[in-house]
Amino acid sequence: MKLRLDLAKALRPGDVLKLAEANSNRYCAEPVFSKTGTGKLSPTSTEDSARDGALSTALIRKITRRVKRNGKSSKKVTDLS
Amino acid sequence: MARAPKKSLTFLEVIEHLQKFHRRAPFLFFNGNTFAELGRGLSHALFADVMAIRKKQLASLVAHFIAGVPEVDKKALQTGLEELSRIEDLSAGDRVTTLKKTLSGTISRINGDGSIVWKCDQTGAFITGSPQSLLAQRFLK
Repeated sequence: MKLRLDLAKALRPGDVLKLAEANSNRYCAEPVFSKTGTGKLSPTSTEDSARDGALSTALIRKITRRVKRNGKSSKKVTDLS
Repeated sequence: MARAPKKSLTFLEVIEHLQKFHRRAPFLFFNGNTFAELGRGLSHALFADVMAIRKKQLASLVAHFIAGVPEVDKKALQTGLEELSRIEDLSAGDRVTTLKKTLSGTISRINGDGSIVWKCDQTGAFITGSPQSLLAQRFLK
């Protein structure tokens, strides 16, 4: 299987922030894990699952575009030099 | 202030670090979504080429481990990651089944692009699919 390290490198904090905001409802607001040593993650509802799928697809599309754009711009720099 | 030298980490080490960060709880609220979603985001990017159902399972497994869900310990994470991200070493003539085990059949050929053409026992049709959408005979009951 090909691991997309190129895409992982292109991931930005803003991308993760969107995912974190969208999934906040599934996590405990307070730091329960540090207090009890047992964390919690609510099961996905159908809506969560659908939204998660859409967010995943959108994220991959976005960072793929970003990688292609960066590839083109670095090629331009190479061509100029 | 001197910066720490860059060090390469395996994906598993990154996930373990994220779990430790979540447990240290640097924020008063919402540590879980911050760190677990970092892992999920990385997983989405790294496994972008994996078929959707497995990609979702991989991201979910990573998020559950970072969130500290007791059922998903390090061993479960490691086994899960290996199993879910593994490409079957398939060849013509191998017996295969779909992920939900509703259909089974025999591989007739493997195309140059890696896609697999297999003959379905139930319908008799030739189906073309990705290697990630099939399980090898050893998973058949």
